Amino acid sequence: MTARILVIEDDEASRMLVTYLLEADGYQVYSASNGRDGVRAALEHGPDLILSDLQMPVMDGYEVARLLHADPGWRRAPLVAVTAFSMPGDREKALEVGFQDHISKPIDPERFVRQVEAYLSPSSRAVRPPR
Amino acid sequence: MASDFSGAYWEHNPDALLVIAPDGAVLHWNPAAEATFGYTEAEARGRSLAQLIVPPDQVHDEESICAEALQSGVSVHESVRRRKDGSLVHVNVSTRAVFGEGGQLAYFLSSKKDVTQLKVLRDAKLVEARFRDLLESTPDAIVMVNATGRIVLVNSQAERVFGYPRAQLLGQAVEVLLPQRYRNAHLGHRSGFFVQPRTRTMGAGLELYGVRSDGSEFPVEISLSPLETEEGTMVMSAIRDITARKKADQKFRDLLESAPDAMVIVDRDGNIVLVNSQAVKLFGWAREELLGQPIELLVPTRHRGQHPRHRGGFFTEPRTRSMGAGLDLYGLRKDGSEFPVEISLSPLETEEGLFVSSAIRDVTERKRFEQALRDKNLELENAALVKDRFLASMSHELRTPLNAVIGFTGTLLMRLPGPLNAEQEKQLRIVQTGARHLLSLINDLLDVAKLRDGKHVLQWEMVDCCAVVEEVAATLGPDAQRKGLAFVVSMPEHAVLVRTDRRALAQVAINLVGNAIKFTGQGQVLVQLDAPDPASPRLSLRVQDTGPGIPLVDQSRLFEPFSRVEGAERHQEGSGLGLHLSRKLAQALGGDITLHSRPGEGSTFILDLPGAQG
Repeated sequence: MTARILVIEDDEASRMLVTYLLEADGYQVYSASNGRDGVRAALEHGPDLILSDLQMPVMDGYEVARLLHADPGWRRAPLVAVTAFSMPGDREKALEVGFQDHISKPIDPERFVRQVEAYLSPSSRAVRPPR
Repeated sequence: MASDFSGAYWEHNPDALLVIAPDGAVLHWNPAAEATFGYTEAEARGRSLAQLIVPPDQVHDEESICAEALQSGVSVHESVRRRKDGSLVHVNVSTRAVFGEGGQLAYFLSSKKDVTQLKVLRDAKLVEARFRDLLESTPDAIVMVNATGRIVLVNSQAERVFGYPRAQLLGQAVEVLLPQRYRNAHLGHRSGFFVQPRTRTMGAGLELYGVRSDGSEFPVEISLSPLETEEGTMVMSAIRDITARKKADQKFRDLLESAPDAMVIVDRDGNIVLVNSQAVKLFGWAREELLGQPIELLVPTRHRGQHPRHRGGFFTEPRTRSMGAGLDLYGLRKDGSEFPVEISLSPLETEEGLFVSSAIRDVTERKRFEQALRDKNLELENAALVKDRFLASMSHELRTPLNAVIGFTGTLLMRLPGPLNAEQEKQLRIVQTGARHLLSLINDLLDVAKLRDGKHVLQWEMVDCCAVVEEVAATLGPDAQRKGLAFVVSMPEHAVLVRTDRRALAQVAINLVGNAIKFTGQGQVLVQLDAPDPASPRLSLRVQDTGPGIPLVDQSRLFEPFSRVEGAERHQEGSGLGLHLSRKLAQALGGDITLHSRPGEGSTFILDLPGAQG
């Protein structure tokens, strides 16, 4: 069964881009435009993978990771940060609060989907015709 | 009665003859009296004899002579009298009381024989016998005078120092050894000493001089001691020629004056013994006001309490050092104002004991300058910080929209929404190239900001440089081939391990090789890695091209941000930060980048790095 992916991103264009790329490869995408809505969606839908921005209004990505990891009701899934933060220490900070990886913006559209698929079980990856 | 005192006997008598009224006033005074005491008869007549020629300490003596004459008719004594010029004469006095017909006292008749020289001879004989041998053995010149101020003894040191044979000095008034200008005053001082004789230094605090037989003067130090003998009180003066010491003193003073700093010298008790004029100027006190004062006079009141303790501490371990290292010291002027100082202390061994010499420098100007510099630095640091923060946040803010531009250009070129015609694809590629350039510019800017901030965290590990060079060659080699350039890579066959940051090294290598390819129209690009060896323990990566070369004038600013070589073909793209960043990275890795180039002969950039042990 093709995986379900939650995208938490406050910048609309970025959210559209990521959603578009993932849907183009056949994934089911939920999205949220701030951390609080993201946590709610994560608990409600139990996605197979969560991609989250770090700097967001209302609630930032670090808080999202902390809340989810602390919530026994959350169906565990890999968390990957997608962020324009690229100061030294940002990556370490993200890994510390429970993100598995850190992808810098701007993303490379040709490689992006394969980068995040690495966190999905092979059986839940999209099957697509070779381009 | 007065007419009786005349005639040859009166006029030519070799002894002074005086007639004195019962009340003590002089009635008559013969020529010998004038010669002996210096007063003419006209000057003497009518005045009290006691006031005229009797020294204060002999008044009682004169009174007892008259009393004795009254009682027994005649009185004979030996005594000291004073001349008009203040000098003393030794006299034999015979006085008779003369009574009138009614039996009442008419007058005293007195003869006074000047026996000064006889007395000198007698005294000389006495002191010679008693003290001569003793005095010969002292290093100082000794001059002994009797009550009339006549020299009765000199030792051979005195003969030598003053340049007289003994015989010429004996019997002379001691003033012969003084410069003319001091002689009169000395007469007074001399009789003063006899009034209250005690051992003491002569003329304390004054500069004293002796005069030699040839008239030349020399500085002296004199100590006086009274000497009681059966021939009366004599004075022994020990005279030291201090010419050499004065010279040394003068040299020392000159040295002190030539010092650039204010110099203040204090004794063991902390009293000021010497200052130079710089100190006078600096503290506003006159030299005389400073000498003898405790040094704390120059210390602000709030520090005075502790100062004597520190002072004592210095004497327990005297060595040249600066005072109050690391503390802010202040001096206090006469007007109460303070100023920052720097003080260095040195022990000063003298024949008078251990002194401390302090060199005091007013550092007001320097402090002001340092403060200004600190303010300026802070300002610059703040400015740099603000700028770097701005760059960092700008980079972040630019990345977000760039994400959409690059992302959606990518999806279009991937034809995810649908097919593209040739023109659409061409224009989208232009957008993509521009966006990527913008991204590299942002990345470089951020790197520069991080490096400047010290926030660029290097990850030190053992890195095989050959692998890095191979990677770079694999990435950029195709670009060289597309331009028809020969691309030659030369490196050792074994791994070249150095301790460095892999990402930073690769970034520098990519920049240097990329530039070489970019700026070379034809010919070749050579990438050569030289492993460190015992002869040259550093690793070097040479990137040599056959491009246009770089004029000398441009070479120095080539590594500045956004510098462009004049006349270089402007179609070349780049952030303008590449070389700047590369050099900063190389320096962060403990190395540097150097350039050898001449127009028309291509360029060689050399990255050198510390070897494995670095």
